[in-house]
Amino acid sequence: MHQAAAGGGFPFRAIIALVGQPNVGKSLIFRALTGRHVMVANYPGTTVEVSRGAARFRPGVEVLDTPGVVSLPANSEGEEVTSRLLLEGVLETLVHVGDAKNLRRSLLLTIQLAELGVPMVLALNMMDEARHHGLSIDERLLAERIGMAVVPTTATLGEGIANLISEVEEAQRPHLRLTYPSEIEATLAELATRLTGLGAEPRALALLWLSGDPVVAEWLGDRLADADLAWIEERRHVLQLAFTEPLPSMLHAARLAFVDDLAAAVTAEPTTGPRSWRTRLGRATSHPVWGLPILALVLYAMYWFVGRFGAGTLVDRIETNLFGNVINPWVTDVVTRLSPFELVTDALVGEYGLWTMGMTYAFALILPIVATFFLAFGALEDSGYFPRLTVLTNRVFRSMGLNGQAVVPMVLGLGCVTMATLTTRILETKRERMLVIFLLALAVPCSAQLGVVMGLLAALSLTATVIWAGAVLSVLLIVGWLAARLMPGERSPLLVELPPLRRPMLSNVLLKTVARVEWYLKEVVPIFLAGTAVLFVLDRLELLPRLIDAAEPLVVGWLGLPAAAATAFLMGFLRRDFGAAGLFALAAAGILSAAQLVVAMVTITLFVPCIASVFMIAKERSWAVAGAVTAVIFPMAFLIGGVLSRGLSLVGWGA
Amino acid sequence: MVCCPHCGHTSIDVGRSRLARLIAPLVHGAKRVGRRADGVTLADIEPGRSVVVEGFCAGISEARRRQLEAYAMGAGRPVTVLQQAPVTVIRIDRTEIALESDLAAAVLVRS
Repeated sequence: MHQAAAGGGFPFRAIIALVGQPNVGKSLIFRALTGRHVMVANYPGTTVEVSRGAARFRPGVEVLDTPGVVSLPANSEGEEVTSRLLLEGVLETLVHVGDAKNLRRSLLLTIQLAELGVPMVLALNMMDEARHHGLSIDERLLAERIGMAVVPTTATLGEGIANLISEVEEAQRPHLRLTYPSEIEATLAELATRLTGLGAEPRALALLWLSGDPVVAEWLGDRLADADLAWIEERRHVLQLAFTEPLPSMLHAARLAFVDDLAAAVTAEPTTGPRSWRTRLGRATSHPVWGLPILALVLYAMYWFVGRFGAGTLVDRIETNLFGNVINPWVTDVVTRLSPFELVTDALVGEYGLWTMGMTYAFALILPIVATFFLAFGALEDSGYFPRLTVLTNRVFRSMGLNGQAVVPMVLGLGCVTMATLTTRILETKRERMLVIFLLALAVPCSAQLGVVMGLLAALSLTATVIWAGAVLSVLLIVGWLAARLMPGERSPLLVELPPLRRPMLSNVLLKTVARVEWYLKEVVPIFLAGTAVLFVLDRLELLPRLIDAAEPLVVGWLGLPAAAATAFLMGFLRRDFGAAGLFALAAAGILSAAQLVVAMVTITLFVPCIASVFMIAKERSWAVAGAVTAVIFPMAFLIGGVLSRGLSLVGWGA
Repeated sequence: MVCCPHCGHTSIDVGRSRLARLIAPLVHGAKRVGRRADGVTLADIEPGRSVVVEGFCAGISEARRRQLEAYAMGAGRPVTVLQQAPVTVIRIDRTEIALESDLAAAVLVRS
């Protein structure tokens, strides 16, 4: 089939592609069709991930899981990737995974895919939920009318998969032909004559061209002569003049009419839906009044699980008992015996040792906290709670030039800011992503730091914690508001689907948590160790005291802290929780006053989270952006710290 | 309090309570008073009512319009309004969708 233009070449030899709207269970179907060897990779030039795996049922065949599409023509980066894959891919079969209880919506996409002319099968997933709603679908009639095999499935229970596999193996080109209004049909026929021989179905290309699909426009731009391009441009323009409504809407109206007809013919539905406790709970979670206590409950549960159990019990067991009493002494012993030079011993197990500081920290302190967080987050995610949280928090984010969807990366940032930076991909516009990345780096404390900060401040007094929380939150809101004013671009109003609440599936949650923990270990820990190494070198070269001296005017003069706090801040540059722990030691020795501790904590919280997150910003956006963010954030943190310090001394608190 | 001049029966006049009027939108969902020049929109509908979509206002962005259409929203389709606060929540077929009131105000409907 067609190979992409020079400059890259099409990287995937995808054979069976899964396409579908989000939340239809596509990834479960993908898992059911593939074996163990699944690869996730970025589509070149984008941040969109595509999964490929070997088909379980036939060797030498690959299955490709595309990003969810709400509709074609493409609106978001993910949809563009799917569009491209469909145009350029060496596709043998297309499997459309649809939602059985939202037949009309699914069929709208089925029609568009069928027009591509690739052998196709429709998998109607979530049949169990459809049955629960009292729906019955005549799949035979439906298959007849859309001209392709229709397989009812329930991926969560494994139902219908065997059937699906056998239909996929025998998939045929769909014989579905939707007739549009006559003027459109005429233009389609004309366009099709010029769009032949390009390696894709001419009528499909023509239809996508008429609906203004940007991917197809670019694709055709690469392949057609200028004269041809101008001609198809003109044909579209002329056609548009014949209607008052935009062309895409005309096409949509025709499809909707067909689908309405079809759905009415093949489904028998009751007039009222079930009022299960689940629907009522779902209602309550986004209710303006009831939603808030529910949210408070959820937050408390998370605090208990991550803060008390994870940061408390687990860390205690692992850090003190396992590492402190068993592993570290043993490692120190072995290294001291085997190491040829004292320098090496020190580097590994000394005060700034790679093992005793770096690894111990990563595994004994951070890992249990982060793992419990990911577990809790995954359970919430799987239950479908987050879209409802978007509804509740939308107004808050409005003032920051965002919409409620930003709540997901922000909440994830409470676990790990580095990972949350990655998650900003779910946001629609570049502007939103930039704003959230900036706010994440500035004012969202990750779980590792939250644990240390809360422990320290809570031991001090409730007021101290409140001052800290209040300061950080105010910074978030004010800076967010300011940044939104300064950043050019429009705000995108909230439009999000609220899938039904469901009991989180343990297997799903576990797999996701394991994947996230693995990612964390691979991405963050090495940089962590590098930070430790830097500290070791600084200590060895006796540069630390000199750096402390250099930092003195800032730390002592402006922030009003004792000179010893400068070391903690230095460590804070590399990792915030290093710094917090350093302050912990000072406070325990009674060197810091309450006010000083709070000021120091606020300043460190506002620092860039850790070197790993800077790397992630560089990866997601660019090194220039990462540099700019860092250059803005550190001065800002010090500025606010100093202001707070003066404010507190003015009020006379905590001296 | 309202007092019947004949029998002396008294009851609470909720309309007179400033506090009650303040929280009423939260409890019932905000009701837009008055109609727009072009017609009734989704943002004007009380929670619990079902209406039929007539079309979209000119002010709606192309991208948002396409997204709404992808959810099978179009002329002649029935839609049920579930909430109006903090954002508008509607049900089309069996899909629930949350959208900001400004967007909802760009969807023209009739009862």
